Amino acid sequence: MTVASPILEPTVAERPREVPSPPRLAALPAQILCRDLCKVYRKGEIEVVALDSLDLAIAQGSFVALMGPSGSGKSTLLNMIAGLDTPTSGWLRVGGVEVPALSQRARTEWRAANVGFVFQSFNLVPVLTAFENVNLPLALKRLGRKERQEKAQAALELVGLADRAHHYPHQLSQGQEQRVALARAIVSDPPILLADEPTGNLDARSAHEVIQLFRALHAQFKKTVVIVTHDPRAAEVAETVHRLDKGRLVGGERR
Amino acid sequence: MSDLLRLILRNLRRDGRRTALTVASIAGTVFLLVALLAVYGTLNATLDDPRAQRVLGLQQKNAPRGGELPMPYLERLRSLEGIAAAVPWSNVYARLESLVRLQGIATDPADLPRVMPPVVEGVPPEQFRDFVANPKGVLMGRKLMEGLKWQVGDTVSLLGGSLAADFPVQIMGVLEFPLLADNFLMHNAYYQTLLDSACACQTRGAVNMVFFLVEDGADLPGVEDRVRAAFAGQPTEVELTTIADYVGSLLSQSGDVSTLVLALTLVICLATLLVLGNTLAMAARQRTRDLAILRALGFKNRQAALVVLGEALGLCLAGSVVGGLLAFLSFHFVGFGVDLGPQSFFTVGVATVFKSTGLVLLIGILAGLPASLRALGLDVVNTLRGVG
Repeated sequence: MTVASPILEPTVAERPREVPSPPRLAALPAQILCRDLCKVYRKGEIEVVALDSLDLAIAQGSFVALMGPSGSGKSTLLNMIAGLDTPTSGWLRVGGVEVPALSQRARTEWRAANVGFVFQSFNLVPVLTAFENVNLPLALKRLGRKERQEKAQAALELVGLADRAHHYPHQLSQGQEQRVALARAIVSDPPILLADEPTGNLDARSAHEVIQLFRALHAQFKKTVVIVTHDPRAAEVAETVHRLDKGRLVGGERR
Repeated sequence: MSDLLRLILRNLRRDGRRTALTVASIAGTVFLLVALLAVYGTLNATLDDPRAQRVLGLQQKNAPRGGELPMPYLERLRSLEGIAAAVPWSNVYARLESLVRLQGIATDPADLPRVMPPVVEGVPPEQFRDFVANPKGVLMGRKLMEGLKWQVGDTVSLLGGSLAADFPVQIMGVLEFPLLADNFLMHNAYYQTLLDSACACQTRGAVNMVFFLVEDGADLPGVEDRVRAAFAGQPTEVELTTIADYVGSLLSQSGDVSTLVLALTLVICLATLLVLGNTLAMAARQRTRDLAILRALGFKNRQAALVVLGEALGLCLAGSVVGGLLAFLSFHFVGFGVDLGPQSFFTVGVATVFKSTGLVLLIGILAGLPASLRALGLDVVNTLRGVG
C-alpha cells in the first residue's frame, strides 16, 4: 500500500487499492489521512495492539462506515481522528492538520472547531435539558446569546425535537436522546461528524430514524461523516465501507 | 461561563439531600468560626483598647462582686487628682408580683456615659435625658420590655429582694446593651433610700464597686498610687483593677486563650476539610462522565476542573451565607454573649462574618483541589468507553 509523502497530501488515486474511488469524489482532496498508524495499549505486562500500521484516506464530504469485529480498532481510530487519543506511532492528518502533534490544549480547541462526535451511549449531560445540551458546544464559540439560542433551536428542529427542547434526558426515549446528541454534534457546524456505534443502544425503529438523519444531514450539508458500526443497515447508507480486523484495514467497498 | 455556572448549580441540585447536609455542616462551621473569632477579637480589642486601661474598678479586697464600699469612698475618689469621673455600681435584686425575679444595677446615670459608654450606647438621647432627670426613673433592658410587654413611660412596682420595701419605678427608656438585656439601671440615690439596714446582702450607705475613668492614660501609675495612698489604712481594705486586668484574669483562668482559639479553629477547619473533601470526592466521581463529555465536546481541562471547584465553592458560599447570617442574627438579636465585664461584650461584626466566610472558601478550594486535579488528568476515552 503506497501513500504519498507526509508533506503532500496524496491524491485519491493513491488511496488503498481495495477501496476504489468513485468518479464523483476524484477531484476532492482527502480530508482524513493516516499512514502506518499504530496504537498499542499496555495493560501491565500485556501489550494490546489496537491499530497495526493502518493506512487510510477519507475524502472530504464522504460518508464512511468503519466496520469490523469487536477489538478491531474502529473506535480507537475514531478517537484518534477526533483528537481524543494519540497514536503510539505513525502519522495522522485531519483537514490538513497533524492532530496528534498538537498539544493537548490545541487538540481540544481544534476538536471544538472541527469535530462533532456522537457516542453509542448518547452521553448527554443529565442535569441539562435537551436545549441546554445542544447549546453546550456553542459556549466555546464567540457568539451572542441570541445567536446561540437560534442555532441550538435550529439544530433541534433539524432532528425533529424542537418540541422536546426543555425536556431532560431522562424524559426522552433513547432514540430521542441520540437525536439530541446528533443535534449537539452538528450545532457548531463542524466539517467532520464522527459517530461511534450511534445505533448500538437503539431499537430497530429508533436506529432507522437515526440512520436516516445521518443520511439526510450528510446529503444536506456535505459534511465528512465517519461512523463506526456493527449494524449493516447503518453501513448501507454509507458511500464507503472500510473493514478492519486486528487493527488493520482488510477490505472495503464503494456504493 | 454562564453554561458552566448553570451546570454547577444543576449539579448542586442533583443530590439535594447531600447538598443540604453539606451546606448545613458548613453553616455550622461558619457559626463556630464566627463565634471564636468574635470572642478572640473582642478579648484582644479589649486588652489593646487604651480606654479600657483607663477605666479602673475600686472594690473591697477579696470580694470580687459582692463587696461593700462606704459611699464616702466614692466622693473621696472623685476629689483625687487625675480622675475624670466615677460611678457607683451596686447589684439590685427585686421581683414582681408574679414572682418574676429581676436584677438591676444602681449607679449615677449622669457620669455613666463617660465611664462606661457601651452600657448606655443605643439608648436614645431624649430617653437618657429623661432617665437622668427622674430620680425614680429606670432604663429597662430590651428583653424585659418585650417579655413583660412594658412600654416607655409605664410605672412598675418592684417588690423586695435586697430591698426593704416595695418601690415604684418609671420606665424612661430601653437599655440596648446586650449583657443587660434582662436587667435594669436605676439611680443609686433612690436605691440607697430603699435599702433595709437589716438586709445582709447590702448595707445602706455602701456600694458594691466604684468604676472610675483616669483622665490621662499616661498618668495611670500615678493615679493608682494616689488611690492606694488615699485609702491606705482605712477600715475597708480596697483593691484596684482595670477592665483590661479583668479580661486578663479571665484569660488566665482559661489558660492561653489564643492557643485554645487557634487549636479549636484548626480542629473545626480540619473536620470541615475532611467532610467537604469526602463529599466532593463522591460528587466528582459521579460527575466523571459529565466531565469527560465536556472534554470530548472541546471544553478545556481547566474548564472541567472549574466545574468541580465551582461546586466546592458553591457549597461553601451557601454554607457561609446561612452560617454567617445565623451567627449575626443570633449574637445580635437573640442575645448570646459572653460576660467580659461591663466594658466589654463580644459582638459579631460584618468583618468577622467576612473573615469566617473567607476562611471557609479557602477550605472549599483546598477540599475541591484533589477532585479538580483528577478532573484535569481525566482520561476521556476510557471514561466514555467505560460508560458505553
